[in-house]
Amino acid sequence: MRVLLVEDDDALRDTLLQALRQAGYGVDHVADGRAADSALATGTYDLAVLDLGLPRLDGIEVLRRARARQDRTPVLVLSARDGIDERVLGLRAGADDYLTKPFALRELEARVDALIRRAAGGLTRLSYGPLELDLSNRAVTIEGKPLDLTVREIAILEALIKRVGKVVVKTRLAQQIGDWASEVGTNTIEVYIHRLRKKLKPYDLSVRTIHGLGYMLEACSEN
Amino acid sequence: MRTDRLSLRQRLLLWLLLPILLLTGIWAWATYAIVLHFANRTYDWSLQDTAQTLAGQVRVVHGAPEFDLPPAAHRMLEFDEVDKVYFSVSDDHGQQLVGNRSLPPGPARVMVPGETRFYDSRVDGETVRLVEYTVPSGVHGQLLFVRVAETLHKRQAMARDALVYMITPQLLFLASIVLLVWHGIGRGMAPLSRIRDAIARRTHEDLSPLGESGLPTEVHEQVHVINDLMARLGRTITAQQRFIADATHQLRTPITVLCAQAELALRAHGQDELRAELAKLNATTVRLARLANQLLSLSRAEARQSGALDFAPVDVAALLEDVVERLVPAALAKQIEVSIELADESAVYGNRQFLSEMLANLVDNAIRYTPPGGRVGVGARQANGSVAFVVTDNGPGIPEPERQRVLEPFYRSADAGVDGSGLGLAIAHEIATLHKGRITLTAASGDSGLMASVEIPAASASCP
Repeated sequence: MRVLLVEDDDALRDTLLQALRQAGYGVDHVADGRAADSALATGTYDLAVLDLGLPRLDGIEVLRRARARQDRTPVLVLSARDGIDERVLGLRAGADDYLTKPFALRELEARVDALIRRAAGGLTRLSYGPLELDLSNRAVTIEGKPLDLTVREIAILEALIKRVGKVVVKTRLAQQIGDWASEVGTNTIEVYIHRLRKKLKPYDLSVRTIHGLGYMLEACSEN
Repeated sequence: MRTDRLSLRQRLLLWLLLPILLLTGIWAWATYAIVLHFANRTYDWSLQDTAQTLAGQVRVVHGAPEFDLPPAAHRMLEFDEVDKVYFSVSDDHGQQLVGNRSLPPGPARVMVPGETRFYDSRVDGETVRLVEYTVPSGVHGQLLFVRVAETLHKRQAMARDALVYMITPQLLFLASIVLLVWHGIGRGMAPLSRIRDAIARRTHEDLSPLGESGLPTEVHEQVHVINDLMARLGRTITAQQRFIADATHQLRTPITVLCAQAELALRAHGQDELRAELAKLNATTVRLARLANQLLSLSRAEARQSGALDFAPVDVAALLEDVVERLVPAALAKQIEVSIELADESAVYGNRQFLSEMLANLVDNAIRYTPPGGRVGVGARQANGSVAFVVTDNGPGIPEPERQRVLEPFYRSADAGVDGSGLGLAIAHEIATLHKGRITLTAASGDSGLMASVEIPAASASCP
């Protein structure tokens, strides 16, 4: 899951970046409106966290331009203005949710999860055979028991479960879990896939490699 | 009664009614006197007629005057329903020829025949009106004095009637005047009551102007002045509300950071991670504290724009050294070289604490926006009766179009690149204005760096 974070306050940006990365998202971050506009225009994001008071280009304007481009990326607006007019303005401009500063980190994370979930069709859990992925707290269980996976592994597993029976293209996988700061190479993806395979093997699940293209999640017995 | 506690209506009544009462009294008295005068004259004339009729009865018989008054005529002469009438005719020796009473002679007797004198005297202990008519007796050289006297009952009754008939309309007149004046004052002061009610009905938030149409000139001016004051008050309140809104807005972001960092710290695993989170948390509290202080300084400086301030000559050199000394540690931490340059001994007239705050903000700004290894220069020079404080840096500077806007509170240049509150220059600007000075921002050299210059009147110029 790739998130664009737009916040002009350095300290807040760093803090939110840290929190979102810890939650397993690939996060790109920019500090002004114009950079946000071009990032949204060129990149593909599962969610944008957008502060409204931005230099160079106002957050509302960034939102309007994105919607004018038919960009349907879910947008969570952050604002220090808490008047009803402000909130209405933000929502009318195309925001999917509105969070007023100051807010609790947990609330931000929950709203981010909810928005992504809604965009994915409202699912709260994904499952495949004995495997279950709870999207609300990003916990993986297998045969009812928790499976110990890193946030990156969970991100890859999520992409695989979502497209069971279909190929998940390797470059797209890299794009989804990485961000600008830590560009994930295809080699790295292979490392994660390798680790996943080892952890899933005892449960008769495997990740099949489609050479030159990508991966597929499948049950061993079917093979 | 203290007149300064009287209402306007009471004052007007006092000033109008007292003279009216006094004048009416004088007028009534004068009219009464005139009426009495003419009435008395009529009575006097009839008295004179009687005297002359009496004089016509004198005949000279055998060389001596004789008086022939038939008893009927005598009775007629004496007959009066109200008053007693006395008469006497006497010669110039005082010898009474005829009469029902000896009557006192008039004052300063004039021996001219045909002359009439009117005078007051007393007969039988009662005041009487007398007329004395002098006639020739017919005997050579001899004069006769015909006197008729009358008590004053008729006249007194007439005077009483006149008084009653005059006083009644006068009192009605007075009552009408009082009512009219009372009503007139009420009508005249109605606009004042309307304004009072209009103000009393208002909520404390309503500062819209009072209606100025249909008001008398004097009140119109008052209302205009009040409206002017309310407009100014309204602008001040709006500015303060905007300031509070901006201030809370400004506080929200660092508070959000604080909350988020605290949450992250709580989630930290292990000592090192926790320490790292707490260090960030600490930096944020320092930032918040600085912001709070700056907000306080700004509002203090803004509040003082209208109030009085303790001004005294301030030594420029000591001021600069004091400010720079406090900020050197911050500069050293960024490896920024700070230099002081003083042209000569000088002093400005101002408030030391505010001036120190102004300079501290300028120097702090310079250190903040200058990259590590840069230079910050602080100086002062005298020119044209004022002292110019100059702070230069070799940082990125401020683009020309934004140089005026950065003096507004909370405005931050898009290219600032450093976490600032957007208050430093606003505070400096506010304090400069407080000292009747002005702040100018220019490029320090070519198109880079910033030179902030504040001109403040020198001590000798504004403090004779």
